Amino acid sequence: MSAPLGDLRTVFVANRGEIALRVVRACRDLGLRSVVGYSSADAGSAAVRLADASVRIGPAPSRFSYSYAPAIVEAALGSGAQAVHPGYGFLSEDPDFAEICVKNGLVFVGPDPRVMARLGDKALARQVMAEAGVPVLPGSSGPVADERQALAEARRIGFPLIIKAAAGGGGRGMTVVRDMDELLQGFRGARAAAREFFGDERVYMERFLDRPRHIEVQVVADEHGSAVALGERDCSVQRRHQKLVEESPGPNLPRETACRLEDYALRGVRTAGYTGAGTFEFLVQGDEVAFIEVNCRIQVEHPVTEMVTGTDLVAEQLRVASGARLSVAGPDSRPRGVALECRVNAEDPDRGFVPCPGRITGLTLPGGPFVRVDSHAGVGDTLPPDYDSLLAKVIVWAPDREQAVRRMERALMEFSVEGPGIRTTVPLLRKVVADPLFRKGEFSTSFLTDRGWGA
Amino acid sequence: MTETTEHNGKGRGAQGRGRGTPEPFADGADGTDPRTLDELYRVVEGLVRVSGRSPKHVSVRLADASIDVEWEQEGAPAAGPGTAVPDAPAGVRSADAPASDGDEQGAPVKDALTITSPLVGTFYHSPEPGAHPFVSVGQDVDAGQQVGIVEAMKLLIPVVSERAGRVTRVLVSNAERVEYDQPLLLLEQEDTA
Repeated sequence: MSAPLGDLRTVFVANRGEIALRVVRACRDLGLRSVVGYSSADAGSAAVRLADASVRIGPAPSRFSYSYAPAIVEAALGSGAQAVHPGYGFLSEDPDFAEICVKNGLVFVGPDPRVMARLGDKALARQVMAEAGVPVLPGSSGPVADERQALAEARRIGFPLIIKAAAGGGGRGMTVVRDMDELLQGFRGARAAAREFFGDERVYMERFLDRPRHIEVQVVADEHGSAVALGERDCSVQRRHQKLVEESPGPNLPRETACRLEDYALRGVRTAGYTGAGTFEFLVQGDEVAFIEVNCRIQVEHPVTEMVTGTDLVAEQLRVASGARLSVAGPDSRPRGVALECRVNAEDPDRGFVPCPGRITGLTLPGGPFVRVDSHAGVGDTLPPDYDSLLAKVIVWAPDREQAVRRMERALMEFSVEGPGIRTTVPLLRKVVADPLFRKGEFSTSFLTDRGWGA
Repeated sequence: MTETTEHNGKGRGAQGRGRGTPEPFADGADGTDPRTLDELYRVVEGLVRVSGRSPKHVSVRLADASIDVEWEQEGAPAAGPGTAVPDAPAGVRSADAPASDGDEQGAPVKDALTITSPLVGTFYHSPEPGAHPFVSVGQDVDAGQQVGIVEAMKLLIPVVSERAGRVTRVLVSNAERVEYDQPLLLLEQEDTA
């Protein structure tokens, strides 16, 4: 029998697409009611159909719906929910939103707003971790105020360097600068992008590594002082800083390095007082490791960890939010085997990855042993143009990496989507999985650009 | 003067409905059978047919099941057999509730305009408690005229009519929770000669 969940009975799901469906499923599995807030574009969506109830919160544009706090809080209060799950993206890392929820008597499924404010500010998080004795890349000690400071920092940090939004996330709005000639233009562009994507033009600067591996650690912590690291994920296969393929454990990653990263992540959890599910991201190049950022929310690639540890991370989030203790701990949750995830996006890889929203007239999803598909898509659905292009996540598990890669090949081969104008990244994913260096587990974040795939 | 009939499972007498704590959204879970919503609507349809009168306003609540009907004054045109009761539940759509169609059958209708909510929140008929409602059934409104307020997190958003017309029906109660795009009022447009 699962442990009681305090006063939690109903969860308001403030998100859409596959993650909204994911949260609805976790609620069902836990015996909790789910109410989904949706925009006009998502009226017929899977999450809305499967939830216990739903509320239309606004029109398609997310600034009036999924990212519009008054609508979400109003709808959550009206639905009788005790808690709000923000999913990922939208308001999930907005400390103001978390605080508004709390002030209105709603439990926010995530860390305390003040913790989120500290760690969610990417520039500040670097400092917090550095003070906890975790290695960080050479970089600015906080946001870079103006062009004069940008020049001074650049001289100190060296090239290449990367300029990132302090209020950013999801790999967006990041500018690489290779030499001093490019610096000021890069700085101005980065600020404009930060303002546009995140409504906050503050940026910070950091040394850029050309061929690192992106290794992240999944943690969960409850409000009773327990914190657990659930292994690492390698997310190096990226297109323009957007993850495409993720796996756990990191292939050919020395166990000693993996343990170091878990240790650093747990240090970060303790220092910051983090609760809930979170991910600490690092860059690894040879023996060098450096912390880059924390994501204070559930991540897209969480199924990879779930498959190797036999855990339900979203359920764990809800457990922590209800005040209950972690149910994952100890040797039972240590990673076993290998899991791989491929993100299938409705984009045309032959035409610059232009998004291909449209109506789905045919859909075949892979299945079979240890194949999992997280998708909101169904035949007859129209993919709205207003949101990201993630169509499905295909995840496989196997006892070792060779079998897992073969299983993923099969799964991608079984995957098919038809519809007027719909194209997906499946052909690209199949190329990645068939690549000899990928199969050997020898790749870094430059994998796609080195091959000229995915401009 | 209007008459209010309240029908509920506990057989309480008629009660007025004022601005108080907004009611929770009705839905089918929490131990209640989602099909009960359909049954409540059938009761309302039955009331309308049997009375032969035109309801001015119908409101249905699911938890503890109750129905509020405000009737037109005596002498108002009787409801024809084809008068339909809107089947969109106020507030939250329960998982099994049918999608709203807004069909109107029976008497020939001039161009109808539905005024929908610009926001999820609480709908108010009048500018403040105790004041006269912005509009009532039978009233002519101009384009741009305010017909109500929707409040969300202390934001008060005016609901305005885009076009001129005559209010034929008010679909939600005062202080009722509404969804984005939910139909609030029906207007009939005047023929411009």
